[in-house]
Amino acid sequence: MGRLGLGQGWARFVQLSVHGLSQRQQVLLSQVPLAAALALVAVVAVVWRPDVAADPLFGWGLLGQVLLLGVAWGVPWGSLPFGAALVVPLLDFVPIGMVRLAGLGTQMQLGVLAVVPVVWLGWSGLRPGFCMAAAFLGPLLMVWVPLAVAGSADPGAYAQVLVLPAMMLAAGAVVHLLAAVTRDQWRSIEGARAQLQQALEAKAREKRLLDTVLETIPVGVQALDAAGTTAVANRQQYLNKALAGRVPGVGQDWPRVFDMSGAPLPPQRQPVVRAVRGESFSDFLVRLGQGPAQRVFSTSARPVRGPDGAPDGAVLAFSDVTSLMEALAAKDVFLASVSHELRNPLTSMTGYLDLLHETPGMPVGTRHALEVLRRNTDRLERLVGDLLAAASGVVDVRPEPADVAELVRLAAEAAVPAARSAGVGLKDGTVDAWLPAVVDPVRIAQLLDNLLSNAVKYTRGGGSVEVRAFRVPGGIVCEVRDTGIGMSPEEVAAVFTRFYRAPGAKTAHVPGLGLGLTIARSIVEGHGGRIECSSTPGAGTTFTVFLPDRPSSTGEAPSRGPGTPAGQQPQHTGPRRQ
Amino acid sequence: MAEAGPRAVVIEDDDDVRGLVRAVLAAAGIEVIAVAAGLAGIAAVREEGADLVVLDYGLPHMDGAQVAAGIRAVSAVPILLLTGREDLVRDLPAGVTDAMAKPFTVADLRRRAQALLLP
Repeated sequence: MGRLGLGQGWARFVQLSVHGLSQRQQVLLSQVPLAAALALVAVVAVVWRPDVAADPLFGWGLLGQVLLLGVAWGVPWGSLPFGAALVVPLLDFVPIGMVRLAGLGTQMQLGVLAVVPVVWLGWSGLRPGFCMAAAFLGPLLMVWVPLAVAGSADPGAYAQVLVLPAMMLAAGAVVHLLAAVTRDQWRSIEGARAQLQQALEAKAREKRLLDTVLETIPVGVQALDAAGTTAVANRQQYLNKALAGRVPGVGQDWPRVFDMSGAPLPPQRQPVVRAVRGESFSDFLVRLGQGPAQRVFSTSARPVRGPDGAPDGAVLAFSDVTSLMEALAAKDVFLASVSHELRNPLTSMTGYLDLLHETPGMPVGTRHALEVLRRNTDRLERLVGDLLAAASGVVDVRPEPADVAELVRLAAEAAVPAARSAGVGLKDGTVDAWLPAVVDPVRIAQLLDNLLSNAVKYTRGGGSVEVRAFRVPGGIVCEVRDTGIGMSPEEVAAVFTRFYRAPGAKTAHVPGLGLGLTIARSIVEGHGGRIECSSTPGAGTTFTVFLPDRPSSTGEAPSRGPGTPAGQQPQHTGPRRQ
Repeated sequence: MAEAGPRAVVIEDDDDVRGLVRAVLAAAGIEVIAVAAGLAGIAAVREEGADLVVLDYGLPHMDGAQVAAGIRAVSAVPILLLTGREDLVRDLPAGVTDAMAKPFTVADLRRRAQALLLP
């Protein structure tokens, strides 16, 4: 503590003498101690040694010191070379020598006052050789000149007084050394201070950047320490907390957090509590707040790891997805209501067409026209069904024993007219005459129709389309391969996205809603199977469907066979091996 | 039910669909009382009696589920629901005996109506 205090004192002193003061102030300061000492000597002499005070040399010496003070004050040292100020301590030896001589040599010990200019010479750090020489020669002249003036020729007298210059040289050297060490220390302290300052500034800059980033993003961000206390949170997150009725400082659970069904979320399932437990999660949807103010948030959390890998807090992000959810809901409601509105007129059309078709004695031409109408109402019905299925995201699958080879054959036959008019060769490559499976024949037919009509649509005249089905261990594979325009990997990746239409399809003016493949995938997944697409631009596309013998639980959607009276168990809730 | 043939109450707000259902059921020898709104349908069942109710789900003011509940308060008559919503065909609303998705075939309507009329 003492050492540190001393070090700091030195540092402050050096800082004052080097940086804090002007050059004039520094020079003046170097004269003050000597002037004060001589003033004290003058007082002592006037009171106790009037003989000394009466000596003209004493008076001249004091006058000289006053003049030097004036010089130190009056000369514009700042505009002179820095070394010029050394003149002042050099001249100091003159008044000191005079005062020393006053009283006929009885006050010789006053020569020790020379230590003051010597200290300043040593301390200055300027021209060390010159200053050390001056520290010796100044006092030497001070003691030898009076001897020479007195005409002394005794070498012993000259030698005796050498003690003072030698002492002064030693003092000057020590001060010079100390000053050098202190300057070194000061420089290293200054360097460290500058580095610290830089580091602090860099950190402050980083914090400002982080703060700006946090306040710019529209996502609520919150960092928790290991104890679950909030370390950092942006304004958005404070708003989110307020929405959730969070009372600051009371536990971690938020009172007004609900799951997507609207039920209150128990504290142990709330995002912040889960994050404090060290859980990592993404896109966990919650509702915050009540009534019209309620918003939907997608929440994510990641644990923060300490240097040893142990959990050390967590970071949470709350993204407001209310508008997205509302848009999705509005779109689904729109699609559903449009589909429903289309179904009433369709019902009348198909129903009356059925009645007309049953009328006996209908001319052949009229009957054919009715069949065309009925086929097109079926097509309309299918489109409406597709829209509704896409809106609800669910396809009703009712598995029953069926022959996939027969379904492929029928689908290929149905696609022949379209393929013929497009100039595309169509081939049913199925070898097996019989491929029994428990599938929904209506949906599988729809799936094959979708894939085949797609393949024909995207294949130019002269190309070919092949469909085949075969048994593999654990299930049946259906494959539709074309030599059409193909797709880029990006298009393949998006091909099952609803309402997605490949750029190639749009430029080729191929009509469609962009729902066929989405529904195809829903049908396959409804059977617990998989659908994959591989394609090469310009070379063609292959869709591969795998239908397992035993679908996973996703394929066993509750279904009721048509006409099953209420209360009766569904006919086929799951697959059956043939 | 003093009459010889069975009687059906058809509740459907779409005139054309109501006409279609009436025509199909009448051709099958069923006496039809056809109305366009839920309250009128409940009143017809209570006052005239019925062996079958054909009920549209998407009715104005009261939906099919509410009408079915109203009918159940006055009668145990079988109710055949017509709806464009596939989820309702899978999960029947309370009180509904059977359901058909729109659009349906005439043959299917005839078959189901007759199945429900047979005790």
